[in-house]
Amino acid sequence: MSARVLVVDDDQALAEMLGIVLRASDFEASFVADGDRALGAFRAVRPDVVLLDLMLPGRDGVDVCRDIRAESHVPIVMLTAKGDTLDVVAGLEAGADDYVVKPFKPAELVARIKARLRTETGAGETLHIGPADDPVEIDVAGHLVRRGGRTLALTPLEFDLLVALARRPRQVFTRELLLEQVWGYRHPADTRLVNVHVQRLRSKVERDVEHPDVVVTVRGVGYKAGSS
Amino acid sequence: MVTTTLVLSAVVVSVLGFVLAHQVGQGVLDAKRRAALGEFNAGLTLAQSQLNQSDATDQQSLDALLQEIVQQLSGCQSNGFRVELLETGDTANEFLDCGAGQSSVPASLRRVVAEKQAQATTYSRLTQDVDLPGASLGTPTLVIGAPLTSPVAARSYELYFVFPLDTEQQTLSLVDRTLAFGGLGLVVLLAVIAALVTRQVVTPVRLAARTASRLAAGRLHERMDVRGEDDLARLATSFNEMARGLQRQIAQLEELSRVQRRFTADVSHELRTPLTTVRMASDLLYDRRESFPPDVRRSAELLSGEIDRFEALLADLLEISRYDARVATPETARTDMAALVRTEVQNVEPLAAERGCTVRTDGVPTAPVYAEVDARRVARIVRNLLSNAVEHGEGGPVEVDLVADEHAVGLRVRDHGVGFQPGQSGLVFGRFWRGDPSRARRTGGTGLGLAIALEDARLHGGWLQAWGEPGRGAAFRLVLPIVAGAPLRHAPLPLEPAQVEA
Repeated sequence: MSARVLVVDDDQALAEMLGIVLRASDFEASFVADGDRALGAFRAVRPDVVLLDLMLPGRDGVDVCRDIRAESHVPIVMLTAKGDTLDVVAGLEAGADDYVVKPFKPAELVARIKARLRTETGAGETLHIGPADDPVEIDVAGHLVRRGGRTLALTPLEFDLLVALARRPRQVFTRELLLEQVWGYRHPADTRLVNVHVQRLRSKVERDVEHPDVVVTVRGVGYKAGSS
Repeated sequence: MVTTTLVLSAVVVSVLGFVLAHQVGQGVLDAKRRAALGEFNAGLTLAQSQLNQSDATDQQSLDALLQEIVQQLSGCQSNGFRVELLETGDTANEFLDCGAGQSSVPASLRRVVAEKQAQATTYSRLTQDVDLPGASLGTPTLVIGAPLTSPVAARSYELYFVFPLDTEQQTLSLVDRTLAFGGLGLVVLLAVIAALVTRQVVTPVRLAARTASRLAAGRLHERMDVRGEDDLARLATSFNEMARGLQRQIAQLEELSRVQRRFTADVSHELRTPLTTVRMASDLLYDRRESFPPDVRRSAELLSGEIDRFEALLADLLEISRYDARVATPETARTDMAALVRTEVQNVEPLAAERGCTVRTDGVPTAPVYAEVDARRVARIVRNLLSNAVEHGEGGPVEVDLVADEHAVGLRVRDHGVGFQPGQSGLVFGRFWRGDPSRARRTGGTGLGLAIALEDARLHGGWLQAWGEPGRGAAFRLVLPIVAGAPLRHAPLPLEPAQVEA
């Protein structure tokens, strides 16, 4: 069964072209052209990935992103014309997993979507991360994360990030390495992606976000798993 | 200012004091002289009449008479002057007041009186102690003398009055002291007044100077305080008007340039969405070009290539507009420049191979060369310099040198192409500048590469300079401080290649 992609974009020509490209890559595409109807369309389509333009009539992209994230962990990829403005950070903080900057190549977009659809699996594997007296327990196959008997609701991206760190507890991950392993970038990309998502992940798994013991910062290098 | 006033007033006061002292001295002496002359003339008349009435014929009675005359005239001490009756040309027969010591009359005066047979006056000093009040050795004196006609033939006498001037001297030295102290006080007072006035004038002027330099430093809201209605207040008012005018003008210019920058950014931004659609459509066509007839296939290839160029141009335009808007900030980190340069050389190799030129990296050290730079921007500078050299190198070798010392790291990229006129070394960094407009453009250069590279270098506080000579090729030198933000003073390697290469 082909994956469903919801395209939220007000530019008719671009939306149609996106449809052609997505269908050529065996995706099933649906479209919505303004921010006010985006959430309704999302509920109706139940897509596997959302492509979201940041500049929309009605509710803007950041708000739509927040709306969708409030009720779903669906991967969201932003389409933005501004590569280095605050909009990108705002979108990421509102819950977007990744973004592509216009003008992008079709292959690049498809690669980003596929990276978001591919998620960690492991047969019967259970990982632990964090301090030994209160570890975070990861059931990789079941996509379940627990700490202190409580189930934590992580998005697929946050789950992948946590699994990547937990699989090699002694390794220090640079942001570039995480971009490659978790986001699937083969070229240098925006390290803010990592920073924002580590913060989001921490807000869910850490007991005290100010003093993290699960995802630890290694100053000047990157991140590593908290010692267990 | 105060010193000048001090010196000038000191000069004026001393000249004035000198003249005044002289005048007072003259006045005092003149009065004394007049009184003395009166006294003397009366005495002379008395003495002469006594001599005329005398019937003394012999020397002895004459001497007695003369002694008597002196006694009459002087009254020793009570008159405050000394009387001397001397025989002309002789020092033996002397009739001195109070009978004491020798004559106090200077010889020069005696000569004058004797020769001219007339009354004469002179100033002198006492050469001996005489029994007069206030008179002592060295006291200035006024001496008046005149000849006397003697009843005894062959004998002539002279009458002298010696007036000690000690009182006058005291008066004059008092006047001198008063003038000196007064003058000194006046000078000090003038200095104080000058200092006060100077401060009153200078303080607002200094304030104006400070405000002006603050304005010059860009603090356009600085104004002067306007106090009172004097000249300085008027100065402050016009100064403030000038500042307001400047501020208005600058605000207008800023607004204009802001609008223009905004427009550039908006245009670049608005172009992106349609470009994305075109890009995707073109890529789709390009991927399926094998199934098209040859001319359609070639069209798809051209379309795809030109869209790449268009995209690069748009990206450069956006970058330049970011620099124009001054929103660019470097993200510096310790970077191995040698590795960075080698990576960029590798990246340019395919283009170099296409042009048939080689890129020589003998001058790039194998050991790491660390510098605190924004790696993304410096890589872009290096990329721009390399592709520029390959593009204009006419197939000749491109030489890359990297040299560092403790303060700076320098990179030179040299080609052996057509070069450019020496006067054009500043122009090559201009936007869309082309050395020879008649030459066909062959590569996808946007014409903004060197302009952006220059901005990138400036953002680091570095230098980017060009050297060129027709027929000898061109060289570009990038110099960056090793420590981010440190000022650059010298370059570790020369811009112009050594002459032996030519």
